[in-house]
Amino acid sequence: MPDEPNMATAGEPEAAQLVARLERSLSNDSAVAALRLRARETRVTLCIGIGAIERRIDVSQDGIRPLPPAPPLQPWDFCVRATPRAWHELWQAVPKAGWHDVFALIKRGEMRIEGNLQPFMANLQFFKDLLALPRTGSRA
Amino acid sequence: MSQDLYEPMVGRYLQVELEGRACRVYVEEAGQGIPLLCLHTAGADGRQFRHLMCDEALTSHYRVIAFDMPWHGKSYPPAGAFAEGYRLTSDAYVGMVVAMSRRLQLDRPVVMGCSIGGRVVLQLAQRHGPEFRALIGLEAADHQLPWYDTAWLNRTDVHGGEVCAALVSGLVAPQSPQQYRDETLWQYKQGGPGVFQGDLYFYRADSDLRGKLGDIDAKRTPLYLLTGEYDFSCTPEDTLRTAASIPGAKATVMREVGHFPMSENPQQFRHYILPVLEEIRSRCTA
Repeated sequence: MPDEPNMATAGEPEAAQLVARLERSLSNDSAVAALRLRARETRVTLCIGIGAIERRIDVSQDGIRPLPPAPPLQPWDFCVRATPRAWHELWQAVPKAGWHDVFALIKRGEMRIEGNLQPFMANLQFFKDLLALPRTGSRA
Repeated sequence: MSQDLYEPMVGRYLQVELEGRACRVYVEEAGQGIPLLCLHTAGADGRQFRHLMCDEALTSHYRVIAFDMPWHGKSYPPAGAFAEGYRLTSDAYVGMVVAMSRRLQLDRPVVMGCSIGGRVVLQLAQRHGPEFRALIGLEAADHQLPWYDTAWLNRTDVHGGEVCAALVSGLVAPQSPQQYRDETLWQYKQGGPGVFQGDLYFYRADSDLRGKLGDIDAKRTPLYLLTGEYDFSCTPEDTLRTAASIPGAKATVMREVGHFPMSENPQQFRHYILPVLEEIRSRCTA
């Protein structure tokens, strides 16, 4: 993981566009509702870091909803951070080998997970699918 | 769906002694010809080879045999072993494959193993090469970097089946058909508590073969290594490095396949495995 994952270089995807793509995918009510059914007992606030931009997502009995942008130091249970390129590659319709899974990205140093890992691991497929939701959603 | 009432494989329970314990091991087989003994991945069972057993291109020349290791699939843990828990070691695994081959009275079988089964194939080549006609390692390497803490596989606050399946789900290639992806992962959801973790003791802690494979004679016993491009656990680079350290070993990187080629995408896999099996057969009849 680069020290400054937000420092986009020429040709790299823009973090802001990727954040917009993530938010659009979370507005797909039917896809989100189907996903929510698989982790009905889960109550978690997760953070997604795309380069230097952070977005929090609340998973509760009310559904899965992005929280509005807020000043730094907001609380979360765990945070999944990756470079813009990693998210861009993960969200391809058919991702390239080695860029196709959360753990593939962690192994290659393009992604890291911080915080309380227990809810993440206890609902692992749910969160992997949630993080891949933009793959089937609208494109940036 | 097939018009046939039954698929061609038959299953039976074999009485065999493994590590001094009486074991009841479930064995399936189909076909006739050169014995092809198949070894499943960690935390799974012999169902991974069901497609090969229904493929006449194989079964017309090979007797395809797969067994569920004790603790896996339809093979119970050995009597008296429940309380001890499960941990696979190199010696136990090598001994198991040799014992199964002898107990089944196989005449110099071809052994094909995947993942941990691919790793043990390298040890079989080293320790028992002349007993085998050829050896095939799928997703096999002398070593690979760990990519998660196996302690997550067996905790009271995490469902073992769910987390095992979710972890390995990323090892299935995105091109693999959904039905076979689901079947592959279902085996992980069905695994007994701590069994996948126990298998990975062999993989992670008791079989680092780096720099130790130079004495394998791949001219006497041909050795084939095939790895899927989407396998980030045993990467193609891991396999190519391993093959380069063994004179005569042949390595192939399989496109659009992950860590479970025979199970996740049998159609794609057969494009790669049939020529290997044909080469082995030609060598036998030459």
